[in-house]
Formats: sequence, structure tokens, C-alpha cells
Amino acid sequence: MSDVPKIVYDRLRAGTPVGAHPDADVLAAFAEQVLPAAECEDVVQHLARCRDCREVLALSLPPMEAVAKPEADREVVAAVPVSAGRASAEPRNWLAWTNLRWAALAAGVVVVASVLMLRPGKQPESMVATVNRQAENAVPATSDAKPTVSSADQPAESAAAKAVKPDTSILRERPVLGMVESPPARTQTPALPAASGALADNKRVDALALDKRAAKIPAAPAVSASGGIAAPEHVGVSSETVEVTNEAASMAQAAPAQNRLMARSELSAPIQKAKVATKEETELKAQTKDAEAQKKQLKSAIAAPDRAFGARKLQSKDVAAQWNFAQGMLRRSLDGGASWQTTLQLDRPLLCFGAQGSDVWAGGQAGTLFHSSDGGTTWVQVQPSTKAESLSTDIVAIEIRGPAEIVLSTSTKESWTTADGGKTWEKK
Amino acid sequence: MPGPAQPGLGDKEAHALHQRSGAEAYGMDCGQFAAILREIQDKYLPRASPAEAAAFCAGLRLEELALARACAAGNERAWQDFVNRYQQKLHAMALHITRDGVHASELADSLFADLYGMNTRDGVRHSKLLFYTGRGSLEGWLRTVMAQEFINRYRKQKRVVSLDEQEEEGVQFTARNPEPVLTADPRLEAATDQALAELSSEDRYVLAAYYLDGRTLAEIARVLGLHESSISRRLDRVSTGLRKRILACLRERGMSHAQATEALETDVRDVQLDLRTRLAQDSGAKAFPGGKVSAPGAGTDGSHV
Repeated sequence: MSDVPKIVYDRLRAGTPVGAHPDADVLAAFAEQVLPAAECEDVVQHLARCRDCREVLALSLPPMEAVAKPEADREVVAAVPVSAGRASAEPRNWLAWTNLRWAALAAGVVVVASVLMLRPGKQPESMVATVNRQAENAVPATSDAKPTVSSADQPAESAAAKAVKPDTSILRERPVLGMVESPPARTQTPALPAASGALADNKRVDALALDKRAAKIPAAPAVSASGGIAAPEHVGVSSETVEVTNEAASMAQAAPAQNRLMARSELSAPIQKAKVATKEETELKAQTKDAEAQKKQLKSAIAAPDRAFGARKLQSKDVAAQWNFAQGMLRRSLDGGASWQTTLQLDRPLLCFGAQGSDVWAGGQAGTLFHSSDGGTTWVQVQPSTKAESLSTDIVAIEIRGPAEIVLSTSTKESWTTADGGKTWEKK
Repeated sequence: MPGPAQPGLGDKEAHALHQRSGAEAYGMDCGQFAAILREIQDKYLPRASPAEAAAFCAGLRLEELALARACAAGNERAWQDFVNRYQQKLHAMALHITRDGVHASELADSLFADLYGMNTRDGVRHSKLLFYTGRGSLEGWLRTVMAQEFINRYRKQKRVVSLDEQEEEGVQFTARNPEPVLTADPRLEAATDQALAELSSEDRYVLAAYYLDGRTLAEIARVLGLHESSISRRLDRVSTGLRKRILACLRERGMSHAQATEALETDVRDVQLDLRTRLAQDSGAKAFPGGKVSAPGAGTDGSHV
């Protein structure tokens, strides 16, 4: 607090009161802030020069705790000019800055929280789940694939599909897990496509292998009639061990179809193991390292609780995927163009895509960009942005120059480049 | 030629206010209560139109006014209500004001006697409650009256002090200063008075309450109904502006900027003490006959402080 010159003290002290001393009634009304403005000004003018009245006023102020309590016996008189004399005596103005500053602070916190949640490059969980669900529920557009499962196997396969039941505890504890499901191509088991709905919370679902099973599945091994479950076909990306039991088969009968994820068999008879090695298998091992990491997670997630159960090894071979556009949707064919599956469908049509191996990029309107590192099974939305701005124009071309180097061309002739798989972007 | 008489509060409005006040419970009829209202209105709004008078009277604390006037008139039921409602509060108020239990009881009892009207004049009991007009709450009025009574009574008592007691308490009394009181440069006084006069009443009140009375920001804020931070900012603004304005006024009175700054910053009383000490050490002779000492920055025009 800045001080005032000493001469000011002297001259303030030397001031003589203006007018007569206000009576106790007026002083009390002033202290209670119910005095009309005109009278208020007179009182303040007097107080500014009269030390005695200032002292009386200071002494007559109620204690702070008494002020905090509303006067219970206060008579409320509406529309009285006396009470409208001073601004502070008026009803509290909720739009005053003293109140709005808290609202502004709260709004700022909300904005910061929103920015943190929706920061560029980070896809909200719900959107990712939606896109992934679309990808997993993909139904072949022109499915001319003939059933590869013999009619004798069908009941057993259906039973296996019914036995699929999600281990929700595992899902909760390990949100990023590759899960095993039956191939969607098996139209004889209608519960299978819906089963993937339970994977909504899993960003990385190893469904590519499952699709491949559908396309290239060999004739299933002999089914043990007594076991009631088909011996697992040789599917999967690589050597993948899944312990299966039909312990929950009966429970799974009642479970919703969309929750059926894995089959457990309590068969006492040993499960027949089969293995098919192909040339593609070795290639696939090299291409999908992260898929192996997922499989390890899957193994620990599924095998750990039920180590006592029998195990089977799933293996598969890879087939080069083909991609095309149809009505703004990205489609994939795993059988050389014989059948096509819609893997990515958005509210707005996609405009371009680029694929190299299992890395697939799809761009659309208003900077919409999706990336799949598992051949279109799961998708993650990427928001290209620099420190200064985010990409908001239409992406018209995607060029994949390397494993992690992507170049986007926009409708406004901009060029956005990333060298680290979409983590950071540079605008040119 | 006097103007037409103002009709003031109408009978209809007076009747409605009488009903609202509950004065009938204390045996006060509508006519008596209307007379009280007109007396109050004449005191504060002597030339009010009927509408203004009605609005003014409607804004009074009618219930408390009726209670106070009924007490003043000696109504027992009113006294019972008053005692029930305010006796404890009076003691609490006295304790808050005096911060001493003994003095608080004395003050509260004294005020209670005044309120009851122990003093009689011409055989008529005069209650202090007759002066309550209902502008503010009765509790606030009682507090103000008590504060006035405290200041009047105890300040007078404080002036009559026992020197022996004070000496026992270790108070040391200084010898009377034989030197005449020196005054500041009249131009500085005039400039300061002018700058102070240009302040708004509220700004001057804030200055006086803070710097002279030593009130806290919170206390000043409560009086003015503002936030404490507003008072703080206002004090800063007024202090800074006041200094600038005084300097400007000094320059208008012929001082250079340096002279004005020096005159404002220098306290003549400090200068006087320093010079006196120095002069006493140097010669002890009458360097400045008449006790006048040139103030630094007072200029060369021969003026003295």
C-alpha cells in the first residue's frame, strides 16, 4: 500500500465536518446500506471529515459473524426506493464480475480439460471403438466364398461358436488384447460376426488372421462327435497357442451372441492338434512383429487362468490383401478379388487410401485420416497437426514412401508429411 | 409567499401501514401511528408528495417502529417484547464495543435505563426510543446509540486520568515543547487542501479511515459495501493521484518540479529536529530568530515554514 505524504495526514486531520452530525437512525441505516443514494452521499461527505462519526460508525458495525447470518426478523419490503439507494443494498447481481470470474475460471478448466482430451492425434475412445466395430463387423460385399467347412462339421462349429464366451475380467484388466474368434466367413455360424461386438473396447484386435482363416481355411480336422466341438482349424497368423475348454460351453449357450469370444472345452479327450505350415507363414512372421506381441498378451491373458486345460496351436498363412473403394467405403479382398469386405465405413465418404503390407491409410473429408497397422482389422484415427495448426481440409491423396513415412496431399494443395508413422507431422 | 401545503401521507396508506406494523397489538390505534409516520416523514422528507411519502413510510421498519414507540409510551407488552428480543443483544453489543465485561455491563445497563426513560423532565418520562424513526433496524439503531454513548462517556472518563496510576504503569511524561509549532509551507498546505477538496467524498473517507483512523481494509469495505480488494485498489489509486495532484498544484503556485517534489517529500517537522540538533551542536546561537527555520525547497522567495 503506497503511503501518502505527511502533509496529507495533517490536512485530513484539520478538515472540519460538513453539516450537522447525522443522527443515530441515519447512521444505522447507512451502516445497513439501506439509505437512499442522495442521503448516502451526504453521510459519506460528513464522515470523510468527521472523525467522531467515523468512530461511531466503526463501533456500531456488527461483528463479522453476525453479518454472515441473515437477519431472521428482517422485514422485507419490496419496491421501496429507500432500499434501492445503494448498489450494495440491491439484490445480488449474479452477472457481476465478482461472480462471473468464478464462472470464467470454471469455463477455463473445462476448456483445458476438453483440449487435453481431444488433443490432436488422439482419437476419442468412442470413435475408435465405433470404427473398429465397423471393421470387425465387416460383411463380405460380394461373398462368393464357398463354405469350406463340411456339412458334418457345421454342428460342431456352431457349438464351438456358441461356446464362445468373453472373459470380461480379462477384458477389463487388459484392454489391449488380441482375441480369437471364429472366422466371419462362416456364414453357417451367424453368431460369429456379432461376437466381435464385444471387442469394442479393444483397439488392437487381431482379426486379420481371423479373416484369413475364413478365406484360406482348409478342411477342418475330424470332429469328435463325443466332444461336441470341432477341432480347431489351422487358423491364426502364426504359432498361436490358445487353451480351449468347453467348461463354459453350457454357460455360453445362454450368453448373448455378441459376447462370445472364445471357446472353452472341458473335454477330457485330448484335442486334436493340427498344424499347417505354408510359405506365407514365414513371411507373415517377419511382417507382423507387433502381432506377435499381441499374441503374447493374448496367451498370457487366456492361458494364465486356465493352464490346466488342454491347448491347441493355431497357425495360418497370410494372403496379400487387395484394396479398393466402393461408394466411399474402403473394401478389402483376401482372396485375390473373389470376395470383398468393407473394412472402413464412415459417415462421410473416404476419398483416398494407401496401403503397404499391413499398413493401410485412408483419408477423407475435413482432414479425416485413419490408419490401420494390421491390414484393416483395427483402425485408429489420426489427426495430422503441427504446433500451429491442424489439418482440416480434404485429403485427396496418400503416398506411403516408407514404413513410417507418409505424405498426404490435400484439396488445397498442401502437403503433410510424417516420418514417424503419424506421430508428428510437418506441413509443406 | 409560502407554497401550497404538501398533503404528505394519506389516511388510506397510513391505515395500511398501521395494519402492517402490528401496532394495534400494543394498543396503538391508526391515528397515533399515522401521526408518528407523518412526524418522521416531516423530519426527513418535508416536501414529499403523497406518493413519495407513502413510499418512504413503506420503507420504514414499521414493526420495530411500532415496538419502539409503544415502549416509549410505556406499553408493558411492548416492553416485554423488547426485553425478550433485545436484552441479550444489548449486552452482546456492549461487549463487542467495550471489549471488557465490566464496562460492557455498565454500558448496557446505562443504555437500558435511557431507553426505559429513567430521566424525567417536567414529570414526564423521556425514553430514548422516542428518537427511533425506523430508517434502519432497531438493532442497528441500538448499536449506534450505544457506540455514541460509549464514545461520549468513556472518552470523557479517559481524559480524567490519575497521574499516579499512569506513573505506576510506567508512562513517561514529556516536558512541554517550548518551541512554537512550526507550520508547513502555506503553498504546500493550500495545494494539499486543493487536492483533497477535489477528491470525491468516498475517496476522502477511504483515505481518512485508513490513514487517520487506522481502519482495516475489511472494515472500510464493510462500511462502503464494497469488496476489500476494491478498497485496496482505490487506496493505491487515490494515494498516487493525490501526490501527482499536489505536485501539480505546487507547480501552479510557482514551484519548479524539483522544488515541489522536495517540498512534498520532506516533512518539515523532521527537518526542524535535524536542524535544531545540528545548530545546537554547532553554535547554540540563535541562527533563526523566532524559531523559524527555512525549509528545504521552500524557494528563494523568502517564505518560511
